[in-house]
Order: sequence, then C-alpha cells, then structure tokens
Amino acid sequence: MSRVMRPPLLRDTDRPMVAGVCAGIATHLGVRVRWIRFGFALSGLIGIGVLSYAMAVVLIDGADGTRAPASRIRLQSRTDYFAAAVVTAGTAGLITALAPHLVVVAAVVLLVASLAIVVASLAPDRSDVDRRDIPTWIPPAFHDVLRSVRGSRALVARTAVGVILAAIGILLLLLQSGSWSKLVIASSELALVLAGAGLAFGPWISRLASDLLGERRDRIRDRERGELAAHLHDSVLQTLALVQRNANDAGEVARLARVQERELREWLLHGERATTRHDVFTGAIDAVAAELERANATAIQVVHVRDCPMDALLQPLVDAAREAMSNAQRHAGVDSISVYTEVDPNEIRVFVRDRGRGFDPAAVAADRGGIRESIEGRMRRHGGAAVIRSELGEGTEIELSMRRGASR
Amino acid sequence: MNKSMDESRNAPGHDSLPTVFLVDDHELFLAGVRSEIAGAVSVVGTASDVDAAIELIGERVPEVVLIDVHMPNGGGERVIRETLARHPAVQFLALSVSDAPDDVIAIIRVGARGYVTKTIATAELVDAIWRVRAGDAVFSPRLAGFVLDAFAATAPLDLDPELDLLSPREQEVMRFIARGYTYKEVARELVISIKTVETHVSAVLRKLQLSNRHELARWATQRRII
Repeated sequence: MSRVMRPPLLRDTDRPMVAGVCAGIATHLGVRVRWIRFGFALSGLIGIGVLSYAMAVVLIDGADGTRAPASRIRLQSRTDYFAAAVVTAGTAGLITALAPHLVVVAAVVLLVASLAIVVASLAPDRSDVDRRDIPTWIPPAFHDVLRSVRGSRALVARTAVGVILAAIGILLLLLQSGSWSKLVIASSELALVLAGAGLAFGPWISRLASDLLGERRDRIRDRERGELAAHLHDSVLQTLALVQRNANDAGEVARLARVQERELREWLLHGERATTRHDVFTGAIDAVAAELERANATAIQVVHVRDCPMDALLQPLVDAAREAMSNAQRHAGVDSISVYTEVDPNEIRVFVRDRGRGFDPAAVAADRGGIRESIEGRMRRHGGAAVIRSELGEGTEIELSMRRGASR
Repeated sequence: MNKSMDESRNAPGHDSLPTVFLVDDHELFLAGVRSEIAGAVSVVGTASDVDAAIELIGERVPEVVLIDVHMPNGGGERVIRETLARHPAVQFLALSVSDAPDDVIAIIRVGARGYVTKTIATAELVDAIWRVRAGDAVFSPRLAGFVLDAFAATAPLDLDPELDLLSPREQEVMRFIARGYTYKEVARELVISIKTVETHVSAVLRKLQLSNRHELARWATQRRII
C-alpha cells in the first residue's frame, strides 16, 4: 500500500474563521476548506461538531508555532486520530443524551473534576521535600510518614476540596431525584457515565499530571543548575583566571588552588548555610584556617570531632589556635600542617601539629614572644593551658585545652 | 613515611611490587596518578567507567584497586560490590575528591580497605597502596575524625559492644590519626609496635563496616553540638 505524503496537521492560523481548525484539516487532507466547514457546521447543530472543534483546538498545534494546550498528547498514528474522534463523538453523544438531566451532568462534571484533582495530587513527587528537615529526636521509622505529610499540605487541602465538591454533587443528585427508584436509576446512569469518562479520560489525565510534574522537576533542576553556574562563575572561574596569570609561581598556584578547594568543598557540604556557621566553635576555627591559608602558601588540614556553640569565652582559645597555626606556617618550613579539635562535655582541646624543623622549647624563652605571650600566657589568663612539644628536626605540636564552665 | 613504607615492603611474602588497577572517570587524573606511582607499584590496567572496570578487574585480578567514589552508572560502590562477590581477595582503596561523610562511610561499608583524598602526596599514596595490599586499613585524618564523631554518639539501646563501640585504645589510635600522626608516629607515642597500630585500625575498619548503626554517616555529618 503506498502512503500518500500529506502536510502535517496544524491549525491554519493564517486564514482562520474561528481558530483555523477547518482550514488546517483541509490542507492536511487536501480537500476544499468549505466542505470541512460545512461538515462541522452541520454536525454542530446536534452538538457533536462544536465539541469536536473544541477538542481539535485543544489537541492540534498552530501552524505559527503556538503549542496546543494539550500538545503533550501526541496524535501520531491513524489509530490515535481514530481514538480521539471516537472519544469526542462518544462524549458529545453522552452529553446530548443526558441533556434532560442537566443536574446529573453537573454532578458528574463536578465528580470527575474532583477525582482528577485528587489523582493529580496523589502522583508521587516529593523531590522538593528537604529530607534533612526532620528533627533528630523523631525515630527514623516515622520519617517517611512525616515526609509525605509535610510535603503535601497542599495535597491535604486539595483532597478536602475534592471531597467537598463530590459531596455537593451527590447532594444535588439526591435533591433532584427525590424518590428511591429514581435515585437508583440516576445512580446507575451516573455510574455508567463515570465508568465511561474514566475509561476515556483516565489515562489522559494521569499522563497530563505526570507531564506537569516532570516539567516542574525540570524547572527546579534548571534553577539549581543556574545557581551552580553562578557560583562556579564567581569562584572557580575567577580562581582559574588567577591561576593562569600566576602560572610561573608554583607556590601561588598551589595556594590559589587550595583556597578555592576549601571554599568549594565548604559550599558543597553546607550549601548556602556555609556563611552562617560563625555561631559554632568549629566554624570559628575553620574561618581562621581559611584566612591563614589565603595569606600563606602552607596548607592547613583541619579535622573536628564534635562541636559546641561559639561564645566570647572561647575566643581566647581560637586566638591562641590562630597564633599556633600562624607560627607553624611561618617557622616550620612545611607544605601542610594538621589541626585537630575535640569538644567534650567538660573540655575543649585543639592540637596544631607540623612535621617541620622544630625547636627547643626551653631555648626560646626570650626571643619567641609569640609562643610565650600569645599562646601560653593567653591560655593561662583565661583558665586554659598550652602544652608545647617540639623536637629539632621532628616537628612541633601545640596542645591547647580549655575547661568548659571553668571560665564561666 | 618512607621508612614505614620500607617496613611494609619487607613484610614476608610481599616483596614484589603490588599489582594495581586504577579506576577513575577523569582520564586526566587517571594518567596523572598512573605516571606518579608508576615506579613504586606495578599498574596492570586502568578503566574509566564502571562496567569496563568490573570486567577488566575480573580479568586481571590485581592485588589493589584504586577506585574513584563518584562515577556514573553505580559509582565505585558497584565496582567494589560486584568484584568482591567473585574475587574476595582484591583490596580496594578509595581515592576521591569528596570527603563528605556519607561518601566515605558508604564506600567503606561496601568493602573498601581505606579512604584517601585526591590531594594526597604521592609518597603517602604509594604507602597506602602497600598497606592495603598487606590487608591493613588506611584512614585519613578526616576519616578518623568521622569515626570518632559517629561512634561517640549516644549509644542505641540494642547496642552490640563488639561492633558499636570503640575500645579506649582504638579511640586513642583514632585520635592520633585525626591529629595527623602516621602509624609509625602513633606507635612511638603509645609505645606499641606498628603492627599493633595496624591491628587497632583494622578492628575499627571492621566495626565501621559491620556496625548496626545504620545512621553512622548521618551522625558523622551532623556534628553534634554539646
């Protein structure tokens, strides 16, 4: 069988009488437009034509590139067109037949609408619910339930509206029928219509719903991508430009890369909250390490165990830690130093360690005021302690400790 | 560092260069690591995606696989799971740019013997490969920090002391590693042998892999404020 190549079925927006459906069909089928219009007008007298026309407007894209409201439903094969035609004709027939029972029709429409709303809102999509939102004291077994309830306040509202609509519909039905026998007949009619409508539109509605959800997901993803792009542009691309300009200075390149790495890591781990961590002790230490790393090529590797709120009483500890890190950067002669902090209920300890050249702690009495004053003195004045272990050629470790509550 | 590397090399039965397979979806990084460690280990192959990795590792059965955590199509986790099912003797060392606790702990729990970040110095990476080949565990300071964070959390009621708690000695060892000490330095500080340090670290690795605390990663992520 040879297939005739026809122009695509599009609404002809250049020469429309109403929306260009007839002209479009005429072009597609290669017949004169007046025959098509005549057909629609004739069938419009009994309602079918009007409904078919409306369906066509909803389903068929415009020739000027405008998408039809339901353009996601692709009518691709002859079977599709045939199904669409049958559904249209069937619906029109049903409506015509039910015209005497206008109230029943209204009830059906209400019911179908509310059902559609419920079906659409039940579709599984909780991608926008933040999992980390759940307080830690709630047992994990309840997280899923909680998530689904939380993610769907709107769903609850919509379901309520749907139930109310359905109730009104049933009430209307009862009011109109008045007697039991009539109610039974009306109910069977209703059931038939519902079943028919469900068969005809159910898949369509669910497909539409899932398409809409998919689109929303895409939109969220796009927005996230945009944020990521903006962040990369502000930070990483700037750093890469700086790296190229400083390509001959290996130390500077390493420093830039490290600063950028730390910043990006922080951003990836904590997201936007990265900037609000100044209220905790580890945040204060991280800020000091980041600042010193920016100033000096020596890397500072920081490891924390547990945390506590930052307050003014802990500031001397942070300041002494800064002095220890800065000393190690300047005097140890190494590429990287290690910082470890540990918060216990009674005590906070900070270790600053390098594998550098080391020194004899007893011999630095006078000339290294940094250690005597800024570290040991400061810690002692604020109820803490500093222990300095160093060996020539082996490196240095400064241990700072402060009792919690003791200084309060 | 170099000294402890020599000690591992001199361990009985392990005098040949370890056979190493590299898996990373960044070709550039793959080539870089390969050339860096080329003299100190014997690289028997590389793969830049999960499926090729599973196939080639099954074919060449290396002693150690250096594996990237984040890869499309299942990531390092899938490579480890599928390889260990057929070749339980292959040792995995995770090498990643990410040091998010979820990633680290997930890859350890499927069977990696250690975890290091990609910024690690070449000598330390080679040392880690030798160590993993010998069946020991490799903990970066940050991983030791995670462990201390996760295992110090309020104990669940159905606690198994064998798996859900660290012994005081293990805690001490972890604390030193978190402070940046090498195994050798830890051994010296605690006046024990390197072998004993390795035993402690392996025991912690086992607890990390088998602990009933399903939410280890979450505990480690949400650093508790006390």
